[in-house]
Amino acid sequence: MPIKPKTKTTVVRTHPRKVRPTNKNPQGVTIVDRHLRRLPGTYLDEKEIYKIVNGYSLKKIKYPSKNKLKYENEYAYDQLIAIWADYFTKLFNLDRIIDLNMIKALIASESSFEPSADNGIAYGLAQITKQTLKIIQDPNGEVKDFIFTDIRQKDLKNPDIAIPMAVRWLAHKQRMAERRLKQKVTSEEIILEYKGLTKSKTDYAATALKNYRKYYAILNKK
Amino acid sequence: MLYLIKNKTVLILIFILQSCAYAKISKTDSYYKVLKIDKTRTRSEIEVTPDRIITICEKVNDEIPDLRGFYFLVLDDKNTVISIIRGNTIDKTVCDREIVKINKIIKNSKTIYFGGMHDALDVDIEEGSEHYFKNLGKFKTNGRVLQWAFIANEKGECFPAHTVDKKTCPPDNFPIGKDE
Repeated sequence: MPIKPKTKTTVVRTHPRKVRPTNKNPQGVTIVDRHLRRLPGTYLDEKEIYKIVNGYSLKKIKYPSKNKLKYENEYAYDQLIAIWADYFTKLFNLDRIIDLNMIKALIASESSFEPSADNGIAYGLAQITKQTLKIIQDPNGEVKDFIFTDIRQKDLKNPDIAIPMAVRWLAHKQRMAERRLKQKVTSEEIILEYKGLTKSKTDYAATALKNYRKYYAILNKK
Repeated sequence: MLYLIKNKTVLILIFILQSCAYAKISKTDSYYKVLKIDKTRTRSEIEVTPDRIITICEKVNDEIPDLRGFYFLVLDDKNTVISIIRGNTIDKTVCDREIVKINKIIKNSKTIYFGGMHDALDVDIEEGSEHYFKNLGKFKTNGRVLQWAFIANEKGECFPAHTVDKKTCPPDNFPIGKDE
């Protein structure tokens, strides 16, 4: 059962805020209007992301496979994958840990482990799109139970930011696929959902799945 | 010459013979070669003539009309078709933009080089859909798939699948080293 905090926001009353004095505002005081603030534990911003990573206990967490995919940077993100898979598995109280090799195979297929991959629409290791970035930060959107805040498009090229966002998005896609198929889903079904290919009967969808399978098989080889 | 002009049948016959000879030369020049596969069979390099390549931006999801899957179909030396795909789906505008650049590299060359992940001689093959290659005919896919890493031609023009910096084309894990 996913954690569903009873309240995700609190009301911040109208209050004064000190700012740098200017000619227009010599007193250096501005009034902040009444607004909602998300409660801790229901969102992540850049500061919180680093705080979690730096303080995370690495003793009992599982790592993705070390089997070689033959990419330059393929091991550079193993620790981040391990931390964030563990974090979101616990946060959402999932039955099983988010599949670490699935995340790694996804990154191989999406960006070839190129953190600055950029096609003008999708960015970074997990090729998160502008649209996904918007959804994942929308307090009233489809992932409103746990969002990211103040993440900019250029931040997606930073693996420290891109990986937690990708893992959170995969956890969401897993839930969507389970809802759609009304059963526990395989890593392949989650990946198809992530790539927008779940219902696709195209040659591309079949080939993309085969491509993913090859990476996943290498990683799971004993 | 006067005789030839007068006799249209002979003229047509000469034209047909010339066309056949040209087609034969073209077909002879057309080839596909696996240049290298690394020892663990995870990376492949291919050399092929442009006539054996088809580029496709495929619409992949009716619910997301602008989503595209980009891939190459390449006719191999056994006259079956291998797929070289971009691993991530992309937006229509990006696909349309990139396919123009890639087709320019293909069109302006005699030899094309591909680098891709996985095994270009994978034994796990299966017959699939049929595709038409201009001047060569219709051929079926063989189920082999490479994840596209880069495409280049003999002039040194190169286009990578992911690296933004075109100077790093081919990407870091290509070309495959001698001892790999």
